[in-house]
Amino acid sequence: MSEDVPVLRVEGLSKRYGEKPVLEDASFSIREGELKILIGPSGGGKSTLLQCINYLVKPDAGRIWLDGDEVVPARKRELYAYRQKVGMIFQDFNLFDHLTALANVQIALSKVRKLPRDEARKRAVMELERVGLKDHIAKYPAQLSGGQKQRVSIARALAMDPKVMLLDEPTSALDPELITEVLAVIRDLGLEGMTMLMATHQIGFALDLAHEMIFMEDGRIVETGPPRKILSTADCDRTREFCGKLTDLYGEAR
Amino acid sequence: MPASIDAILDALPYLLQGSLVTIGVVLGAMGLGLLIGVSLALGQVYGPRPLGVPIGLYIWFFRGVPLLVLLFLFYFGLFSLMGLNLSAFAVAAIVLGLISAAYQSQIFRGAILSLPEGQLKAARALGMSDTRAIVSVVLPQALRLSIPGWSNEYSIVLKDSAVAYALGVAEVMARAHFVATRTYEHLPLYVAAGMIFLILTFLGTRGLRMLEDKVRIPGYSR
Amino acid sequence: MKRGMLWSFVCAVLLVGMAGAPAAPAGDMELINGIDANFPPFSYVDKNGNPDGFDVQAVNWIAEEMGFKVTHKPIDWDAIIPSLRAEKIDMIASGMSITEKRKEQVAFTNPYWTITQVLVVPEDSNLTVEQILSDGNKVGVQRGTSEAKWIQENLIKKEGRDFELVMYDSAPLSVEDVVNGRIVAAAMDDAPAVDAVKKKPVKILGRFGMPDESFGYAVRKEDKELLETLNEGLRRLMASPYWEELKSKYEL
Repeated sequence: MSEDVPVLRVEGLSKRYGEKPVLEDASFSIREGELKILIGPSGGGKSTLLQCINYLVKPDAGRIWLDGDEVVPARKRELYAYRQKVGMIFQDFNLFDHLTALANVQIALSKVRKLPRDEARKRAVMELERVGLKDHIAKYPAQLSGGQKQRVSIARALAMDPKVMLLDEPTSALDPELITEVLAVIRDLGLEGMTMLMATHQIGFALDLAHEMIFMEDGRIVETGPPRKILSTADCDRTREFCGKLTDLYGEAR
Repeated sequence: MPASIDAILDALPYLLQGSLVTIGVVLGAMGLGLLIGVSLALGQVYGPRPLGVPIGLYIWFFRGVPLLVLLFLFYFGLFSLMGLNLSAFAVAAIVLGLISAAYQSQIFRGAILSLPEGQLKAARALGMSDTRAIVSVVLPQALRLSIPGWSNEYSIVLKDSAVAYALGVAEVMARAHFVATRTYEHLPLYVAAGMIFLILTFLGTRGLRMLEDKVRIPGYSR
Repeated sequence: MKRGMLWSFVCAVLLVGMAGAPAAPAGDMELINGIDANFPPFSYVDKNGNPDGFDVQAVNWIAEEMGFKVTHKPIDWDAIIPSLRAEKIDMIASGMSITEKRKEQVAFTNPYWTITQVLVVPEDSNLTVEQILSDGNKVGVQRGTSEAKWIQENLIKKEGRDFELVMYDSAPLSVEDVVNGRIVAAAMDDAPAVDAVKKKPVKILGRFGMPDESFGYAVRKEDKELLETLNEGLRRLMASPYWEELKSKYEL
């Protein structure tokens, strides 16, 4: 892959529900190893953008390229293959309630990637160790804390060897004392070079690690730039105002 | 009264053989009802909208037409016209199964709709096809949730199975009637038949209860 | 593992459901005789659940004599003629009265028994037939029988008598209700009435004006060969000493 081809490129992505546009003409690209943070008020289109990227929500318009190849969602097999390469982390974890942590990670390896049982299991154990859940692999989602659940869901996504990860407010459903363990896992991923697009309100985390920040409001990308610039000297008044509030709430960068 | 007890004891082996027939019809009906019921429920929840019309018609028809009419319709009519010379036992099981499917489909539909939607999204996000996601993620959970409703349905099908004698299936009730006609011990024999039905209900619901416990997802108190 | 268990359970269940052999088609001389198992002493099931009765034994004798095999299958009386026509059974030898209406649907052998219809009343009843068939009384009868039809068409419709006909699944059930006092009398063939008198505190009051009827075996109209075989079998049976033996065995 040549240096100037982005891992993920999104062009003119739009979505409306009835008359109401929820995503308007979103375009951006992410290079390998980059961590981009999506910020903006709730209902601003962050979640819709993320879900449109892997077609969980069908966009009305727009094109997407992965590693320079355009995705054609109408071809089912291509779509399924594409989704495997785009890891998705949800706010509510969305673990499979009837499966143990291990089986949650293993199931797509067996059923989608068709790995032999032993190999799938080995890989699943490895991914769960990677997120620090070695001792909990036999537990069911209902027996895990929120933070542990989110780490299982990260392991589940990682097991598919994604080229890029989409994280939709991965810590906002968590009790404050559980946020750190999940952020630590994401931080490690970032340091290992994982390409990520993450919606979050964790400003401190963003300042520390993000290569770029995207501010969204009313379904539009309002401003894009380095985190410090967005937070302190954003060109747009609205961006500054919102970031000011976030800083009050979640604290200044360390 | 001792004469009545004698009458029951005399007839018991014959009645118990009849309970095997009853169990056969009920298991066949529940099994068929499960397969068709799940398909109908999946069609209703995930199928394209136009599919809802035939499914709705199916449910309306099999819930609306009396059992006896359906038995005659299929035994003397439909299957004969199709050139299928099925036994009365098979027809009773099939017709009860088709009816049960209409009711079971609503049990499964409720169970499927009660599952958090996000799980299906997560399955898709992992690259699963919809079919794969339904088989691996939706059904295992929906079926678990359906067991209590299924238990209820079982006791209804069990009792309905007595109507199968109309086609000549010698199940428990028909046999009790035969013996009563010969011996003129109507009441004791119907009491005995009632007891057998009670025991079958108990065993079935108990068995399903055990199944429910066995497949319960740890951590859920449901 | 758990899903595997569930599916094997479902499959097993389906196999059970589909099992069951279809009725043998007519003509290969493996005949199925449909009987009303609630019509002693002509046809019923014995203690061990085997079909028995005057008609059952008579057909067994004829089958042996004429060289065919026969099994007896209890069928609900309401469904017995449809079952014959739908080839679920091949013949009916179960105290079936020969009537014009039935002749439109099936063919009958020569008559082998003359039957009289009577009223059965409680032992201590002192009502007359005339009294019973008036005053808004309730009289029981088995559903789908020739006597039920005759009473409705003649006594109620034509003569306009004031009584109510109550339908039962079998004659013995109507006898139970005579004993209970829910109906004042039950109309039925004399043979089951005799059987009832032996087992219950009831008596035979007498006839109620219905002409005598004859029993015959019924077959499908197109089964002419079978009809001939049965007629010849009946002729031989009634000429043999076994006929009297049967009558005394079933107290007819």
